[in-house]
Amino acid sequence: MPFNKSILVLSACVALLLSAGKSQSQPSITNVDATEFKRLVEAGNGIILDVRAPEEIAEGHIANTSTINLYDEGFVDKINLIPKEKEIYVYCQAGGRSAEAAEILTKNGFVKVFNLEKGLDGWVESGFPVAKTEVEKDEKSSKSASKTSVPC
Amino acid sequence: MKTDKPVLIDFHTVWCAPCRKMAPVIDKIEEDFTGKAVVMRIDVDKSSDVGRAYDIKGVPVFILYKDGVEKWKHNGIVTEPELVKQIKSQLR
Repeated sequence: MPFNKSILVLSACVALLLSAGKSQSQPSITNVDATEFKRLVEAGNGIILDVRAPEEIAEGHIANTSTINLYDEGFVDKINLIPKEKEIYVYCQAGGRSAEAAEILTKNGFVKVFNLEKGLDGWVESGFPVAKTEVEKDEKSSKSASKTSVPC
Repeated sequence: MKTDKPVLIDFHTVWCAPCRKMAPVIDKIEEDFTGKAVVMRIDVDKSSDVGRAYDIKGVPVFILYKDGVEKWKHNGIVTEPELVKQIKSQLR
């Protein structure tokens, strides 16, 4: 029946269009190893996010990282200040907290989240560089913040 | 803020790497335009009400005002020449 056939074709097209639209906007978490993570952060298209505690970050971190402690009560408020269209490269010490953070990020509208498997431990094992600088303190003024030695 | 000078507001946080990258640029702008323009810095973590009032949804954000009117707004990293161009365009 030509009429039925047309309806079938039309339905298939609509379903295809809907699924294509869905796949484009569907948030995704991609777990990557240290080598791929390094390639991504060096491409410079997104935001590097360290979700460890300040004491851990003081011991060493990936250069040019933004830092929000996963267990900071304002974690969600803070991540919502990061532009959501950006790719987020999230890491912690061993990969556990960053996996949790990645879930929170996607639930808050971030579409492309890359999680560093094995965290900074895996990064160091791969022989990649770690920056060691004074941790940013919330107490200081923004003017003095600009004078700190955090590498950018 | 009552002034006839252009006012550049830098909305930032201390944990944001792009904000830290912009900080020396903003310092230089403030120095270069001393007496000609006003530079203000607002930490939106500390002043979340202010951030909400200015509808700040990401950091860093730069807004340039002249005579109380928003003349330019930029979300994200911006070059020093672009900032200079924008401020100069508002100088009398």
